[in-house]
Amino acid sequence: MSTDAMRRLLEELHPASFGWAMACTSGDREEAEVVLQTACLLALDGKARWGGASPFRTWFFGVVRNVAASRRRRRLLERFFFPVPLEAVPQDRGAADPPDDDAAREVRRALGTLSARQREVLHLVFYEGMAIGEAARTLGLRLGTARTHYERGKARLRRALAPTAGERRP
Amino acid sequence: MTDDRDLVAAFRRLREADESRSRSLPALLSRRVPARPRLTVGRAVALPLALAGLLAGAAWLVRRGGAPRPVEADLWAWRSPTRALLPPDAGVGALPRIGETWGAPASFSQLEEPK
Repeated sequence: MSTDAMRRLLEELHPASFGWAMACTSGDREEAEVVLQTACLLALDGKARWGGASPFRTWFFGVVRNVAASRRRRRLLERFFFPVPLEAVPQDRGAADPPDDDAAREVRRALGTLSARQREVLHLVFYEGMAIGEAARTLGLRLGTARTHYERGKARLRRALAPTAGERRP
Repeated sequence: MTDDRDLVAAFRRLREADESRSRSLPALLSRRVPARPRLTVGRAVALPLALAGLLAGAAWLVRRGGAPRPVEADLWAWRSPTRALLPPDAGVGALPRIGETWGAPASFSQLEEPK
């Protein structure tokens, strides 16, 4: 596949990819941008190749997820060897970074009470509008396993959101 | 899906928030790529120090222990107070037996085998 064609596909998918990167990094915008940038560069440089065996979105979301996981592992190793930051790492956090509104912050807090798998399955189904089967393929899970995470995640998310809903009602 | 309307609405709020915060793809790609690995000044000092410490520790261990000693040498060392008084070519038979005098002998004749 040519670089231009790949770029077009990435652009079409960009809003959804950013949401997925946010989900893979527990809502850390700075980290989500680094992850998504790395995944896009891997795809554009041909270091990650789409064979066409699965839908483009399924494949690219898998790349994003792998990049996020590998960066998480590296950070853990770094923290093990250097528990105290020896020097502040400059952040590329611009002034134009609007904070979440209350509702979105509340949803993120509730999602934080879920396990990573439950959060990923629910995100793919409700945020990206995937069927559970496609979400399972994206995450490399069996359908039954994905369905279990989906059901348990829904119940847990409802419990986490319930007090908030109660507060909003007069 | 009717039962899940509350969750659909929750995720819609999340999506709207994300969309207002996301950069376009070209802006994202033109972003400065984070240096890898991030070698900070602190790490640049700490890593060589840690390596030097490891090497110094290994050298000290080698110098202190040296080559493993043979078992025979350890046995002789156990009897060293007497051994020190014997000529270097004296055999095991020249040593006092258990129960005999272990103090410093007055002469080599005390170390002869009992008849």
